[in-house]
Amino acid sequence: MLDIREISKTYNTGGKNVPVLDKMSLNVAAGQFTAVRGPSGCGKSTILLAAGGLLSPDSGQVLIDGDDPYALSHEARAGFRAEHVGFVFQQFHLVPYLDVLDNVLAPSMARGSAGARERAGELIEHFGITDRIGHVPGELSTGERQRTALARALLNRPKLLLADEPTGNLDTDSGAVVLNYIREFADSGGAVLMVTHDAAAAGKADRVIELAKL
Amino acid sequence: MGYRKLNFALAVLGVLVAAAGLIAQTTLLRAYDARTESFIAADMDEAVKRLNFVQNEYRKITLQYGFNVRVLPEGQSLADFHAEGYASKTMDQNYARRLADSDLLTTIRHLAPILRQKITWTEKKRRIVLIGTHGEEPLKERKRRKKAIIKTIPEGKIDVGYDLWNSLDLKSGQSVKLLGREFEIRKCQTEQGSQDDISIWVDLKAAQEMTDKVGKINEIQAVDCKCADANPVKIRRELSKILPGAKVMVKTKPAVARAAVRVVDQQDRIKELQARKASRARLRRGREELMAVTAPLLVAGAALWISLLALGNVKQRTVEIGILRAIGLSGGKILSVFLIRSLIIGLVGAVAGVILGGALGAAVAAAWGELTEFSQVGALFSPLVIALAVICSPILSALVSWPPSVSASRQDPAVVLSRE
Repeated sequence: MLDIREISKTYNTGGKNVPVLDKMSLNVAAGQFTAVRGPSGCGKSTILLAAGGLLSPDSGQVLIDGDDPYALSHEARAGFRAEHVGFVFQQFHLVPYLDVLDNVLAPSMARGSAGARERAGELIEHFGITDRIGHVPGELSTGERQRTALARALLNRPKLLLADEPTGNLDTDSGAVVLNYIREFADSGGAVLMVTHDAAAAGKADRVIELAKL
Repeated sequence: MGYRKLNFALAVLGVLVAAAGLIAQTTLLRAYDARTESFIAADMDEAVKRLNFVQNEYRKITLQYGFNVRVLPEGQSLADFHAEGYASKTMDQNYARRLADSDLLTTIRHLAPILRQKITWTEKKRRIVLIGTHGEEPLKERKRRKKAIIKTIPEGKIDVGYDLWNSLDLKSGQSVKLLGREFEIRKCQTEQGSQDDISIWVDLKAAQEMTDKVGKINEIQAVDCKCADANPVKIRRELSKILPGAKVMVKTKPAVARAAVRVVDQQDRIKELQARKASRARLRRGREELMAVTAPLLVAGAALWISLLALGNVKQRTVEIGILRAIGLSGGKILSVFLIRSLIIGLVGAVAGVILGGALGAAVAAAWGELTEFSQVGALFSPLVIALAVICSPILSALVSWPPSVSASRQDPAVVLSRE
């Protein structure tokens, strides 16, 4: 599903080149939950951004379901992301003035809304936040926020879920619930690439990749 | 969330202030115009009606009484004329002919050249007024010719004033000597109670010879001018065109003079109203000039304000935009979201501004006395200006929000997410 082939990335920080990834390859198959661990600055987030079609690598290739998102224009790549990739972030990044339902429905703005409302209702029910459906993020617990973010990530039925420290801001119980849902997504045939510091979270993955700083 | 709402509210407020300012100013201008139109136009209508009425009355009176006009020689002192009872200066006799032949003369119908002078009737040792006349000059225009009312004295004849014949025991048909010339008394005048009672009328030529003023006259009399359009001003104007420099004395009945005063009063009233209208027009121009300065300032201020707020809004929502871009929203979609927001800001601000500005304008107009009846309020609002405000405000708002919105739509989600 996700095939990262020898990608390299160097950042220019204050006029100084800082290499982060050097010919790094990674493959996540459908139904596989892969966790990436490593110290800060080792390139975990860069892998995630590159895998999500958000950050073009300096060299190498990223293929999602056999297609190279970087071969597409910016606008087409945005549509590609909306169709194939779901994102979950440590900070949840919900739109603060939208309620749970509208936050979950946000990706439908990109892909059209046919059946989106039913799908959102199903996800909200599945993630146990039906009673919070009319609440804005500020009125939700952190666990509820992350479940809302997860529901949003899955609205368009992506084949790839990219998670950046999804339990980083959650207590143990809430984190476990979220990880179970991610696990469930992988078990249902989705590919998951999760970046985490948390060993317990990584323990839920089928495979853990440890990255070292270059 | 609070900032987003505050930003929206402040942007709406910016549009509202600009739209309200413009609408209030146009409302005030229209109120001013309406007031000018209502009371000056009403007063002017009334004054014109009144002028027509008094002019009509004046025509009737002038037709009834007419004018008597005396044309005196150029340079004649009126003080001397009134003191002596005749003009000391003279003019050519053909001046009367020139007057009678003129196409310009339309008001006068009876015209006679006169030579009048105080002399001593040496044979009787009496001071008399000698009046030489040869009757009326026939007017060139036949249709204005009327039956002569100024008498003609045949050669060798005289008419004698009441006091003279009465005191000297003279009779009609009697021969008398006057300055060595033999005359027959044609007529003894009835008592007039004026200078005429000590006057003797002779043929003009004889009078000129006796006073050594051959070919000269010192007065042209125009009597009984009854043209409906005649008035002293018009008569003076006509005469001064034909005989520049000549002194013109117009005498009429008190009723005619009073009617003339009423006409002049009414003409003055109209002039006063016209002056007030002109004054209000000047004041209006002043307000227009003020508006010409404030309107662009209001629009430019609002545009800058909205632009800054749009920039602040984009900056504040950087993460949100990055996330929306990350989950698949295209740059065009993001751009449209921000532009639609700007359009809504412009529309809401304009509608609120129109309402507030209209109410404010009407209230100020009422306070300034420009609006006196509630029923006039509807006329204060210009549908065109309101339509322009409601249409242009959203467009302007979207235009000035365009650069920040484009910047938002081009944000790189990877940069935003990396930063977070």
